[in-house]
Amino acid sequence: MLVTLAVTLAGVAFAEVTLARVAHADEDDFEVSSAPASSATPQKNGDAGAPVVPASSSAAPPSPAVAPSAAASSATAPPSASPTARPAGASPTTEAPARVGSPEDHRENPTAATTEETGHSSAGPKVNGDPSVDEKATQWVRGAGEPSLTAGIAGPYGLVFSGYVQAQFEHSALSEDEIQQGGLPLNHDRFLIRRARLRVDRSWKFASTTIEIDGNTTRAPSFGLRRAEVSLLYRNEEASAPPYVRLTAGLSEIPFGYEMTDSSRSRYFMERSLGSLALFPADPDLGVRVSGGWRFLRYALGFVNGEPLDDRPGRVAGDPNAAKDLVGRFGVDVVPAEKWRVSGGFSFLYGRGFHAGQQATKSQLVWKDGNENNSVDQGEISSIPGSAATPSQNFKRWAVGADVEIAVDTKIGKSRLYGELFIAQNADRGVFPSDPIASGSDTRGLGFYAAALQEIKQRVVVGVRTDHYIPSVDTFDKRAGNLIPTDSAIRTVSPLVAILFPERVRLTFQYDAIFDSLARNNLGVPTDLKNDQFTIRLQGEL
Amino acid sequence: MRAVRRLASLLAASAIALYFVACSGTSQSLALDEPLRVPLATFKEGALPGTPPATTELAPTITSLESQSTIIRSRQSGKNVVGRASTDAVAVALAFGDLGTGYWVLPVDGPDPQSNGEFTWAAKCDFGSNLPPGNHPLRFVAIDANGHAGTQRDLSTCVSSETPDNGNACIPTSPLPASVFSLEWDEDVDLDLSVVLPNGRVVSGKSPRTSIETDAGVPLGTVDRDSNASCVIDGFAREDLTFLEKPSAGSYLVYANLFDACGKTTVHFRFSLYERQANADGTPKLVKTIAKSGQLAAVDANGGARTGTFLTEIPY
Repeated sequence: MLVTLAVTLAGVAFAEVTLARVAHADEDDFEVSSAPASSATPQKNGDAGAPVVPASSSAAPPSPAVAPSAAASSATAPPSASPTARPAGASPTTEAPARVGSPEDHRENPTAATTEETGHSSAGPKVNGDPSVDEKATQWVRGAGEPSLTAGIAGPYGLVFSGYVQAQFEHSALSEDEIQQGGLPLNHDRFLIRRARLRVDRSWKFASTTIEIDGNTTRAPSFGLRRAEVSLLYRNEEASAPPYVRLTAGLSEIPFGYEMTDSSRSRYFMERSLGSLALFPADPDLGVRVSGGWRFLRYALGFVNGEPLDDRPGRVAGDPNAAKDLVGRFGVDVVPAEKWRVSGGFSFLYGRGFHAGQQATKSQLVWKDGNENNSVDQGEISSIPGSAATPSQNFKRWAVGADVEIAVDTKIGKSRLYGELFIAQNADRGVFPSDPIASGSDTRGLGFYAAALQEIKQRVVVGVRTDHYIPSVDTFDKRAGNLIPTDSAIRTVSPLVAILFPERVRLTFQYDAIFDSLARNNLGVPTDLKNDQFTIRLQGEL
Repeated sequence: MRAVRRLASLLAASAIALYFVACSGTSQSLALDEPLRVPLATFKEGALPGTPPATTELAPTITSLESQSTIIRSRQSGKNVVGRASTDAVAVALAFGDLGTGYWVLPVDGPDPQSNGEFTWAAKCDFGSNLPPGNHPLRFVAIDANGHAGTQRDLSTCVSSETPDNGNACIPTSPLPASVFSLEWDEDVDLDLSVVLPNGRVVSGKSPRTSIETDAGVPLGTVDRDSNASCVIDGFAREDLTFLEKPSAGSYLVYANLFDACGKTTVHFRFSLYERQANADGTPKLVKTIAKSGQLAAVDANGGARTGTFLTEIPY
């Protein structure tokens, strides 16, 4: 029986919460799963962001051949555990056979992969309709390690279908039975489908293609494209290693830091940290990427539109300027000792934001009831002359960051500690969008978080995450006629408890205690806003 | 296994308890149910701090208070009140003296060099609906850096009646009208109150007077507005036909005419007739004598081609 206890600190899922009435965050970082396996690698990434023990693992039957989570199990699994499960379309002569084992296994014990290279199914929930797929094998192949651009996970050969649903109830102290000016409801106490995703992957020796759609009721029932990518890749002979080179085009991940490639399916925290949501209001962006690895080195470089694909109202559809963003991450992934794994890297973003010019206006008459007598009197009608259009302008934005993750196997279960730090200028696109043209000065921001997860007997996971985001380090407040530097930081502490059930289902409770300066006290001085929230989520996978 | 279950239960209980214990911070409600709203200020529950208006003023003080008008109407928005506070003030709080459940706080602005450095401040006030007509002073108080509030200061204001009363609520010497035909509705549609006079003339917001003549002793009735005309939403959703004197004898046929649904599917309306009557002490008052309500659908919109839906006949 598996009991996983994950403790997480800092869950800021709150674009919606902290921004109070600004807008509801529907950032979308969602990797829909696919059943991975084959050339999975011990690379930091989306899968690394996965829980210590993949949810799928908890559902895995206690078969020694398919023992979940434990790297050693993977390494010792008999190579013929599922000899007939090779995906259709994956010719044994032209394509490397898939292996049994999750990327998690590789991550924990990279050397295991080579011993399992042959004769194993990489099948996910369904491998090209092949009825001979070993169901037990397929059950635990799913999980944390999804084929991922920045993960270095190429996915199994053949056609793989996967998906999951996150249904939840959320409560926010900000909730009011009112509507905001413009009609936006201010009630945040609700049931919703946060993510419902279907993903299809198909991989060959030198190529792979992925299509993924996402549905949710965050703002209204909607379905949209979440991922659509085509990759050409030159695989490492060692199955556990990432491809030497992978060229990807389409709608895909943004290779910056850790959370951006951490799968929403496997991540225990409800959403990414607030700082991450500020820089990247959504996960995917359109463009081309080059990624891969050699030995312990990892790299990913993207040339993207710079407008993460989001269905948030008011956001520009498409790319408003010709300039593209250059974004990337360079890091390492090492196993310094048995049961230990350490990864980390440095990331950067450089691009140009867009300040929309004003459109031309016509002349108009305006009545202002200056004496408040509800009648038009002399001097209360004025003209506003028409104005010509003003040009749009671009502005520079950048961000640099660093991330680190430490994972270790303990007697009670796996432990993970990870964190991330970034500084940025004019790069906030989601929380308090930067526009130095409008404000007249550059906006310098800072953010960091630390998270800890502890698995307990593979049935319960406890965790806590604390994150700290400063939208602008140059914030001032008016106090008795003087401008005084003030603290604009938003800090969130998010403990969580997750219970893992069989049948690929998990129940997660997360509380977000938010500390900020978004309210004012009796003296009119900024003080903490009452905007804590909690979320109860039930997640099931296909 | 039992230990694990126990631990899981403990953690879950702890997490739930955390919600009730750790829920911190200051509420920042929109307070749309309050009679006074100041969008750029912060709402606080409770009574306005400070001492009631008195002859001796305790610091910090409101040294100046100005407003263009002392008349307030329900749902009025953007009423400017400006003033100054003493140099030891950091914030100003305001509320109705006798209405509401809390008050609003806003920080003071910069010093005014022409007033010995006193801090200026400005409040742009919105007002709720269904305010009781009559005198309701706005009350202000300055607050210093230690949170101490000084003596409150009143701005005499009066809330006018939503039902046309010829200004009687604020000026008691002004006579009440004899009859008021009122039509109110709940959606942003162009709905018109139409009344067919005994002489066959149709009065509505689009032809608002009962007679084009102003003399000959004929009681003149006037429709106050064409609300939401051409779907330009004005926020009133109400039209009134007011007779200062008793209308001429005859039958008055009342209709509700949906000129344009403005994209809405349905609208609920309520018609009321108010008539001047005398209290026991002989003072006049407006009394609702007839009330009718109903619902119209978008298909009822006729662009003025018809008189509309018949509501009632009022004989005089």
